[in-house]
Amino acid sequence: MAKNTSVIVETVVPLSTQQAQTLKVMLKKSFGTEEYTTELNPEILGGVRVRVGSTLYDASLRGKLEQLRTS
Amino acid sequence: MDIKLDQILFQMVNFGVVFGAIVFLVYKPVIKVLDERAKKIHDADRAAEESLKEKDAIDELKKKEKVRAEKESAKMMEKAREQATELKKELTEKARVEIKLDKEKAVKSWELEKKGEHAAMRKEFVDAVYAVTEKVVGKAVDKKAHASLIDKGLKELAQAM
Repeated sequence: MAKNTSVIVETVVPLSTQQAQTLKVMLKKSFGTEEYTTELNPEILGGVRVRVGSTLYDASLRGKLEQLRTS
Repeated sequence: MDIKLDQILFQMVNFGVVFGAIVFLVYKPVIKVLDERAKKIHDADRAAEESLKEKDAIDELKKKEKVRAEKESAKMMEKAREQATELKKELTEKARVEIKLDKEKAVKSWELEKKGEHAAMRKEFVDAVYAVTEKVVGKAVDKKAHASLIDKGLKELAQAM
């Protein structure tokens, strides 16, 4: 992964310290970076959504509902 | 008794003349007529025999022709029966195929309809769940529950990344 690729993390409520730490470890392991930007987005209803560059990792409640709707 | 030679001679000549006349004038024409009659009878017999032979030949021919006609008609009947059987078989097969196709079409149509109804019901259900979830989550979910959802999401992401 390129060093300047942006990582945006969306949640409904701010991440706890432990959650932030867990996320950093995951990002470091998978993409070699610990840097990310957090965004509070009530639209996702719950859970977490991570955008790494153009790739979206969706573990949000809205994503699950959309998945249910389209399947 | 007195024998008169000239009288005997006269009688002999007289007899000869009468005999000659009878032979010439009666016997020969009668024989001729009889021969002609016999010839006519013979000819008639031959003609009758010929006719009988012809009649027999015609009868034989008729018999042969009758047998041939019977054989021919039997053959034609057999052929017609075979054709009818073949046609029946063909029509039955055609009808069976048509029925099968119609059945398949009906089943397909029914399945499509069922699938459509099922999809529509599913969509309605999902939309309802979506709307209810959106309302419930938006109003009733507290911070703790959100934290739990985030934990769960992070675990899922760890597997996906």
